[in-house]
Amino acid sequence: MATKIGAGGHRQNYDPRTGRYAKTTFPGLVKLPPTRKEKAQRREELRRLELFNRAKKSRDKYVFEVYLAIENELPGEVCLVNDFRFDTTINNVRELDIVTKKCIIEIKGGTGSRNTHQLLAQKRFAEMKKKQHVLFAPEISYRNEGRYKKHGIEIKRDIKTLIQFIKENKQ
Amino acid sequence: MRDIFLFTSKPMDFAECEKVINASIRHVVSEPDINRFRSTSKNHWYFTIENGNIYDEVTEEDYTDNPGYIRELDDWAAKIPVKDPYINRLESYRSIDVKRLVAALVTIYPDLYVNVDDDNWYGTAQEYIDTEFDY
Repeated sequence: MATKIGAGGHRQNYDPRTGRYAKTTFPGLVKLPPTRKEKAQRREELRRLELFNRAKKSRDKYVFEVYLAIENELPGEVCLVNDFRFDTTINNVRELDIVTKKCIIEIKGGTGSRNTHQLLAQKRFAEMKKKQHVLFAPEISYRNEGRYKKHGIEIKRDIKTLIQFIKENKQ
Repeated sequence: MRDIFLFTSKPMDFAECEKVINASIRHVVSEPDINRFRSTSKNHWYFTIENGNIYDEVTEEDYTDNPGYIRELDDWAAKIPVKDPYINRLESYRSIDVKRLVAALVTIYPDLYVNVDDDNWYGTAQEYIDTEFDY
C-alpha cells in the first residue's frame, strides 16, 4: 500500500476509494475525512441542538412544550426559537417565539389581554415574510379569542390543533 | 416574553421615566418616537408607554355582540385597586429585569400596581420586588 508522510508529520496511507491519502488511526482502519453529506448532516444536528437548548432555557410558558411537540411530529421544521429579527414595517427589531418553515407562532401564556395591535403587527410581518401567523394561547379568555378572530388572527388553544395547522401549511 | 401590565393613577411621562431608568439601569436605549425603552444587553426587555385605559379596545359592537367581554374587563378593573388606572406594558423574559424597572419607576409613581398576565399575578410594586419568581 502506498504511503507518505503528511504535512503534520504522520504517516498516511493511500485509499483507492477516494483517491486520497489519509492518516491511519487504528491498524487496518483508515480515518476518512467527512464527505459533504456528512458535513451537512453534522451542521443540521448542531442547528437542531442549538434550537433545543434555546427552547429548554426559555423562561416563557409553553415555549419548550410547543417546540418539543413540533420537533416530535415534524423533525427539522423549526427554524427559530426565541430569537430576534429586524422588521422593516416598524423599523425595529421584533421578537419571535417559534418560527417554522412556513409559520410564525406567537405563544401567549396568559389571558391575552390588550394584544390586538401587537398581534396585527406580527401578522403583517408574517405576511411580508410569506408565512402564516398563528397565536398559540391555551389560557386565552374566550372573549379575547373572539375579538382577535374578528381581526383575522388565527388562534389555537391546544398543541394538537396547532400541529395540524402547521402540517396543513407545511412547505 | 411575558406581558406585564403596570397600572398608575396618573399618566407616565416619558422624560421623567427616562431620567430614573437611565440613573439606575444599564444598557438601556430610549426610543422617544415610539415611546419605548428597551434593553441593549443580551437579556432583552421592552417597556412601552401607552397610557391606555382598561376599556380603550372596546368598540360599540362589543356592547351588543360581546357583552361578556365588557364583563370580563369589569372583573379585571375590579382586581386593580388603582381608580381609573393608566396602563403601560412591559415585556420581559426575566423577573429580575422587571424588578429593576419597577424599583426605578416606583420612585416617581408610588402607587404603581403590577399584573403579570401569564401567571395571573397581581400585586403592588413592592410585593413584586419581594416575591421570588421562577423566571
